[in-house]
Amino acid sequence: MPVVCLGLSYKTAPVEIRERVAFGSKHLGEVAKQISTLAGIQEAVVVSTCNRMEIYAGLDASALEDPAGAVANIESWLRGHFSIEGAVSAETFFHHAREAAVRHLFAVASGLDSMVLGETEIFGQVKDAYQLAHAEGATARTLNKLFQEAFRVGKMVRNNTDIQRGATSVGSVAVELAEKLFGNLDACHVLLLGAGEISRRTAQSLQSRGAKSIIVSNRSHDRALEMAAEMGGRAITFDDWQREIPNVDILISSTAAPHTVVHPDDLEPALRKRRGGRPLFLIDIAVPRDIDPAVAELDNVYLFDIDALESIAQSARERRMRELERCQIIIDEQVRDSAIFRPQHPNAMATSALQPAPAPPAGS
Amino acid sequence: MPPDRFFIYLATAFFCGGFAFAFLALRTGRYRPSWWNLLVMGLGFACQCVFLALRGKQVQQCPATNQFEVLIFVAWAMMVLYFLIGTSYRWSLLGMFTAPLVFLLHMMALFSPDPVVAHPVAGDYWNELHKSVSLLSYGAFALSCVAGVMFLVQDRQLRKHQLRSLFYHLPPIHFLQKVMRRLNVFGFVLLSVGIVSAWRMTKVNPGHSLMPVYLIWALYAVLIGYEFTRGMSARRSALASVAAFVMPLITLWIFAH
Repeated sequence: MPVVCLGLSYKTAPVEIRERVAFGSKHLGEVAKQISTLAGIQEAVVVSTCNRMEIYAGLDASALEDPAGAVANIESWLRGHFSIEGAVSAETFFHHAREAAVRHLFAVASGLDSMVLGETEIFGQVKDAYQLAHAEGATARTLNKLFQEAFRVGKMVRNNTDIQRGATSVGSVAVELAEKLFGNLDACHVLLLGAGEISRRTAQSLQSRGAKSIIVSNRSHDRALEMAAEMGGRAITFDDWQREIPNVDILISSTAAPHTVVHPDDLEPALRKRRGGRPLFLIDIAVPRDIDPAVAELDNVYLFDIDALESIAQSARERRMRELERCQIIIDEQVRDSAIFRPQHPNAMATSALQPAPAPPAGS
Repeated sequence: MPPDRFFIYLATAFFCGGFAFAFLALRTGRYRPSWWNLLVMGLGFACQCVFLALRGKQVQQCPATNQFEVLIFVAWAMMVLYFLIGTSYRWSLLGMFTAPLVFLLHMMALFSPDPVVAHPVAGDYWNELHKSVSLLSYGAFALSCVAGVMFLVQDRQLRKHQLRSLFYHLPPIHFLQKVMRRLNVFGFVLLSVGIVSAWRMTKVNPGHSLMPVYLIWALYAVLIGYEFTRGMSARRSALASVAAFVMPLITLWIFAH
């Protein structure tokens, strides 16, 4: 029984189309069930995230000779369901059949087809999609086997390569470094100097990883109050931030000041009062910089400015790109060895008749 | 070759192999924490245990009667603490950092005199306690030194903003800081017990002097006292832990020469 995949992703469709052609996560099971009743289709799984909407379908015997017909049925159903006939060109949808569909699913589950190469969230999203379809009775032997293999391959790729190592954005680098310094962030207090957007997002990421408290200090105290309320933190006046240093573990600075606002003299007395010699992590994402680089010479103080964070993120992105080839080799091997293609499998595909499928495009 | 020494050769080969494997894997950026690393260290440790059991039977006391045995005992103590602390902190790389020091101690031992003479010390449990506890304290200081090296490596990478493959496998810097402090205190307490038990020994071996032990005790007393009363930056504490271990290392070398 051939497997086909039809969908669209950030590579083929702009966000205006992706937001129209998307299913809510609660409905993925029932949609899969509906698709599995289309002509030529016996089973289906629907994956729908902000960056992709993909349908994997196992075809019945009537569609064995003509998988393209089944793909056309799915596309037609989608166009009708979303009322996009004429509004979305045929090129918006990509489709793969047989080995290429399997290879594509393995790449998706491994994070190789994601916007952020190697990201792991997609693995959970594919798993949820499969479980919902399975719960609705929309899957059978072929897709059950295929998705179990995809999950195994996804884990294998992650465990045997560096595809997910290192944070790839400024905010996530800051969070990763904080975790490397403190282990877990449960006991960490975060001070925001300035109320910029990046510092807010970074603080929220730290909070989501368990940071104990957020303190906001801004020249406009009203803005500090507003941001503190939004994050469940505490606002202090800009003149008081130095008093908090003995108790703070992470300082994120993003003021609009044209000169440095944090100097070694501000920190030295406070560092002596710090409990248990805990390190102080300073993140300076302001341009021009807020924190005097001389601060980095102080013991127990680790300073990262925007360039340092971006450089680490860039190194991680490059490292992931270098790992792509190793990932592809693993996926190629797994596609070749897939139980889906074994003759003893009742639904085995006639692999000899298959054309070699192109490798999925490099991640972005 | 006596069977007990055979096990030490075998253990040395395991530690050397474990270190070489991890080092090369890190150099090529292909390091993966795995059970194999732990298994190699475990096999080395098992060989040490067999050696100590066989040798203990031969000398009829705690096998720390000559320089060879003392060095192996300290290496064994390091491994005991490594398994106790390393597993609780999930220090996948601790083995990679511990292995070279254990390997070095083994090599020093293999080039040391090893006269095997039975000296039954029936009834003098203080002697047994003195030797075993003092050498365990050396193991704690050694492991603190290892944690100090790990801290300094990580500190350097963080300050230079150059996060290499090794960085991602190292334990959090604040954990290392805490572990160094705890190991120093633990070693200091053990050494204190060792000194007190030496005072209670009924028989003192000829030429046995507690002076080096007093010096080591005083050194760590100053280090710990300074850290607790005046406070010390983590970097200085790491440097002190590494530097302070030179003293036990020297006394181990001098011992029995």
